[in-house]
Amino acid sequence: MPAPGRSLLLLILWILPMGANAEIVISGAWIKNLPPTIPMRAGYLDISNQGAQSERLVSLHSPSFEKVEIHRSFEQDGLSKMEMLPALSIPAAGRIRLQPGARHLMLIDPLQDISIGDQIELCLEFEKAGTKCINMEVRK
Amino acid sequence: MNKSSIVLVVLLALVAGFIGSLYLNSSKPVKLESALWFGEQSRALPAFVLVDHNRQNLDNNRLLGKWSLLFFGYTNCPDICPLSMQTLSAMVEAIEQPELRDRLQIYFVSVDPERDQPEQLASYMAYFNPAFIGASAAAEQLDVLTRSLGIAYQIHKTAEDERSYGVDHSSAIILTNPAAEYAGLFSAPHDASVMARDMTIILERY
Repeated sequence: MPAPGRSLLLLILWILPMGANAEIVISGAWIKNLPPTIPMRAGYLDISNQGAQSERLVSLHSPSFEKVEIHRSFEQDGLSKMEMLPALSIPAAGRIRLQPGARHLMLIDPLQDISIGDQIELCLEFEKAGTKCINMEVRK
Repeated sequence: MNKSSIVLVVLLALVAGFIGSLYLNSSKPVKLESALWFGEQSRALPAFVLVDHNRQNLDNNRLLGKWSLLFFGYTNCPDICPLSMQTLSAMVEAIEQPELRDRLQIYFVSVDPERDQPEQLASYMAYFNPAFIGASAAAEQLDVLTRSLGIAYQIHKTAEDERSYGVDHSSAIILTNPAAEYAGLFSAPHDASVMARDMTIILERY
């Protein structure tokens, strides 16, 4: 391999891992409390992607719930509807906000009593950044 | 300001007040800030019977004597329905005069009767607002009311998802008058202070 080709290859090999190292910051995570008779809760948070590549949130898990899904509430033709989203994309240098009445987390079947003030662990699995675990505070 | 312009302002105010009173007395539906109020076109509801969260009947007679707001939802709806409960609580609080507030009752009608048994509705009302009344009924009875109000709903229960399924439902909040007639509606999005202003106008006038 001629020298210029080799240095280009080295440059590419040097840059690649930087892209893979997308910086994900999760903030403002909380769970809306409900009466204990209801087997699900909505959760909200902000995900900020400070990396130079887009990211995808592909799955979620919490030791306090049987399953965690991504849902979206929306209004269509006078109807209030909800749908499940298979994943969430977060653009490079972008931020997405999960908030009441819009995209949110659906935490299904609590495995323990959930009360106001509790800190519930949630692990988010990203396509590139891997798994990030945070605590979500249960609020009124 | 000289004399003639004061006279002009007073005249204009009188004319505006007169037009305004014609408007509110008109036999046509009146569009308020967020409510569509049917006025004289309010219409009687067919005979219906739901069961409230205390296992008492909620029928046409229960609606007599007060204005009522009926909103439709289900308790296994952790995102939107708590928002609606909070908006309606804030709306009631935003009606300044207590004597007007006392003439209004809020109902949460569940379109998910299978999961929303009276006990479930009772704990939901106790949690969000003990002054609200929760009610539902098996589809046959429930549909007498929902159809007459133009409220649609669809239960997405499947063999794979028997417990955490969603229910699409109309987001309109329905107004009934003290004669238990369908008297108007508030379309989404619902804002507590806007709704309170409209309700105050309706309650003050009638």
